[in-house]
Amino acid sequence: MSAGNQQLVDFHKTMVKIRLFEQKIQDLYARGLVPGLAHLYVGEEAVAAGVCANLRKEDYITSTHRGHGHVLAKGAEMKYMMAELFGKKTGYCKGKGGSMHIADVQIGILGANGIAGGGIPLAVGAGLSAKMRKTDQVTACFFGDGSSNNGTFHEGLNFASVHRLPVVFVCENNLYGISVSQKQHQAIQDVSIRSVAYNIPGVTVDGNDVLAVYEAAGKAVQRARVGEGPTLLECKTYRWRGHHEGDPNQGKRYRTMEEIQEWMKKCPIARLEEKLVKREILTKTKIKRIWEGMEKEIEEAVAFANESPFPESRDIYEDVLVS
Amino acid sequence: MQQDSSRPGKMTKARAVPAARWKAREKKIDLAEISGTGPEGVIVVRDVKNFQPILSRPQPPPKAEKALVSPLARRLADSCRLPLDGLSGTGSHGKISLADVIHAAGAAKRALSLPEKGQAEFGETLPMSRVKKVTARRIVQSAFTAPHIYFFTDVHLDPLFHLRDELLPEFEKQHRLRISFNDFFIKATALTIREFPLLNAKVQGEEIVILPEINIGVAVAMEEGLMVPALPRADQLNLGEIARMRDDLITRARSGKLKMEEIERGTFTISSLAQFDILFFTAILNPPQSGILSIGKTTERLILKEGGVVAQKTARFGLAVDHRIIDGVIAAAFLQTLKKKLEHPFLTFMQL
Amino acid sequence: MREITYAQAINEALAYNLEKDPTVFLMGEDIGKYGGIFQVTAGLLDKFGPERIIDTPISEAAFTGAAVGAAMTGMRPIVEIMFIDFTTACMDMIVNQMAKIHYMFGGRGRVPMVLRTNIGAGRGAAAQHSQSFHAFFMHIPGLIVVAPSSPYDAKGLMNTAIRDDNPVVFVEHKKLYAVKGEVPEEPYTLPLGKAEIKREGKDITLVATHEMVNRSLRVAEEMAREGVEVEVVDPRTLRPLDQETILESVKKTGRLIVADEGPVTCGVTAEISARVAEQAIEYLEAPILRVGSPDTPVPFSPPLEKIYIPDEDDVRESIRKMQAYL
Repeated sequence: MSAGNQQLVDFHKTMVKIRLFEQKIQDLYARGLVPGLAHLYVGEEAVAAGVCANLRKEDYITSTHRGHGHVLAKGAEMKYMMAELFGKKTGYCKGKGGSMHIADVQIGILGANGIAGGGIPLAVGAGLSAKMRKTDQVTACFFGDGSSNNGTFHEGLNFASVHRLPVVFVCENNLYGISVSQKQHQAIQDVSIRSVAYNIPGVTVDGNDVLAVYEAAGKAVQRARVGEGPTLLECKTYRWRGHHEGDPNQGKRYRTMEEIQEWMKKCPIARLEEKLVKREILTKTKIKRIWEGMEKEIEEAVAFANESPFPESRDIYEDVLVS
Repeated sequence: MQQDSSRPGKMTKARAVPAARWKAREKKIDLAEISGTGPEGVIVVRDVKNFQPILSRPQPPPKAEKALVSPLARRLADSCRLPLDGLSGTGSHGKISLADVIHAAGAAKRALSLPEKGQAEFGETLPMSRVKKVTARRIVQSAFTAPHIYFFTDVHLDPLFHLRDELLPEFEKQHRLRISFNDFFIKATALTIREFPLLNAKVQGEEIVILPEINIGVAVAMEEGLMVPALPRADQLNLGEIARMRDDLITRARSGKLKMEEIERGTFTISSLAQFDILFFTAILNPPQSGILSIGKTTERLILKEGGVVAQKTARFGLAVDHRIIDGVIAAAFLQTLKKKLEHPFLTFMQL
Repeated sequence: MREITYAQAINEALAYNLEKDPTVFLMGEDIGKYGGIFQVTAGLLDKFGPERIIDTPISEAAFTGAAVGAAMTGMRPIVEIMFIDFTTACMDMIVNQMAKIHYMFGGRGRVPMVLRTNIGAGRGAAAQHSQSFHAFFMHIPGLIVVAPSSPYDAKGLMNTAIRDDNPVVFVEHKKLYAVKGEVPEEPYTLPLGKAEIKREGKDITLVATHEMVNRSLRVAEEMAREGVEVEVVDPRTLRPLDQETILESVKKTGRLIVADEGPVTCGVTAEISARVAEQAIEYLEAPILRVGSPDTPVPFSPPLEKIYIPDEDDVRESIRKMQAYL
């Protein structure tokens, strides 16, 4: 099903939100105001937006270390995310998780995951759970090209395929696993062809075309919902920033500035904006307003995080076990 | 510590299981004195439990219902409050002899590690208690920092005796205490210091600090050494208050219940050996004080007075002062004034 | 009371919970048709069907991780890892996911699952199928680690473990599966985190786990005839450890032997010894002695395997050593 105009506007809003959120983190991180690690999603917004637009609140996602995009697209609130990134008590995880473990099980976010491929079996479990409880909940499982080589990918797809679980396996192929290019780490070019090994459908789309992602994901989600089992959906995309903030080799050792520039020209947001303006769904002014409005929301989130307290010393012992 | 024969000159720690170590510490037993019966000679708890300093056997021998004890031995044991159980007798048929009791009494005291007044065994080495160490250090500090000069005078005490006799019954009724000569001495000294502030001073660097209050310390002889609790603002107390406070402080000094503050507040010390046959003696200043009064025994002496010989009760008072602060003239004047005050007690103590 | 085996006792607990709670289900290799390699899950497939008794592919990471994901989304899975040796294939799922999610999510994600596995040498299964490194899991905050030593304890503890909202690693023992014991027919629970004094005695405290409990009890019986009273303490749960009971016992006897089948270095015995040394040193009248496996992989050859396993002889020897301090 193709997207209606309102949906396009929604995609745009989601992508702008993700872009600005990540850029804000980039800025705060550079100024030393955010502790820990940050793995930014800048440039890949269309994948999260396109996939999650097909999901309901009660559907699940599992995410990766580069999870802010997925989590925002699934409906997480910026202020609780920001607070969590700052390590404050008011964050999603009470400050105990940080960037790589943001979660809100209530809205189906089964966590960003610090282990490459770590979320795949969890997603399989969520799918199994939905099947056993006989709901039509679907799980979207995000992972990268690097993780597609991990044991958990193969074990997870195998398990999901044999049990026909309602899971959409979304591979965000951004051509690198930290510093190792896809050419160096796998013998194939399209990760989606691995679906054959598990006898499930495999699709490759332009991950920077939100509409393409939306449509392909929509088909996969629908299949899952009616019990036809899992799909492997590969979205080809690119991250503009380094693997993590502070990655010193950005454009020097393992990628070239030219390559980065090339991909920036294919910016998913710019491409959508072109469509929106062409189809007269939004004006350039309106678009500008949207960006400004989102900036303001982000400032509010930062203010919330700044004003929030850190956890107390004794909180370190809280939640080790359920009491 | 045991000498490690394999490494001459190096001390090794006694081997003991933790519980034994703890018990030995509790009982103040040196592990080096215990021989261990555990594996490879390690000291175990029963070794500590059974340890007694004089017995060579680890277990006390089984005794007959009534142990044979010589009468002399029994008398001494009673007076020392030494239990006869657990003593092994070296007399015939295991009879406990006087020598056994003496030995046990000495060893028991050693175990308490507190030698009695003047009583130690010849050739024995006694450890210094912590109090004794501190006292020794302070005495040395005083003796070698403050140049002492000494002055003596004889004080005629008959008038004071008369005053005391007159006061005694009323005093006892009112205060339920017997007034002592020391109470008069304390008050008189305090009043005299009022006229001679330098006797209530201390050296601080290159300055002389005249202390604001006159707190007279009274030296109390204890097993461990001298304890000098002080009566605060003694010049302002009446004799009843002085007597009560003196009684309380001395009682608590003897039972070890003084507060540090009560000792540290002293500004001048009175030390008396009046109960001994000591005519006079020199004392060392109680640092950081600048004056100390030493009082000898009151004796009847024959005095030449107005051409005749009379018997008078006199006591020789000694005064030691810190010559950095006080010169001879002041010291002499002080002592003379004190003597006059004590020899005219009705005048002195009129502001009762 | 009737006697059933340790395996049957666990089976009863599983069946009871499968019956009572539709969110409970089992996953593992060969647990369905085969009934489990040690027959612990025998008969359950017929009773509850393939949807709830799932024979998985050989992919520990997938199905252990799937259990985590399912537990997070409303189910109460019970996973079997055939031998503890295979937990290494899903260590990430156990250590980084199962144990951490509740804490990392600030208490906002629960993993109410049970991971069953077994330890113990003695079946000639050699180095990769005979290890006892349950101490690895005792070391991980966020996990509960259970170690039943008898059929009675196994059933009661399993019932509690399944109902608990925390992730539980339930460590069984190969040699105990066929051991019989008195087990009530009706369901019952035993508390997690509580030790049990299996035999009272005033001379020596012997803290033992799994089959070491039974070996210790047999030796204690012999020793009693010689006038040495050994108190056998079974922790039952390794994490959290009931150190109160252990310390009370040591304070009473003053002598401690710790016996566990894992290798001694950094094992369960090491942790218990350290805690006692920290908290009751002034009561110790003897050194702390440990009985465990040697620091070698498990050898295959039967006479070597026999030496490898800490058995009655080893327990007896440690008690003899301890006698010198009585």
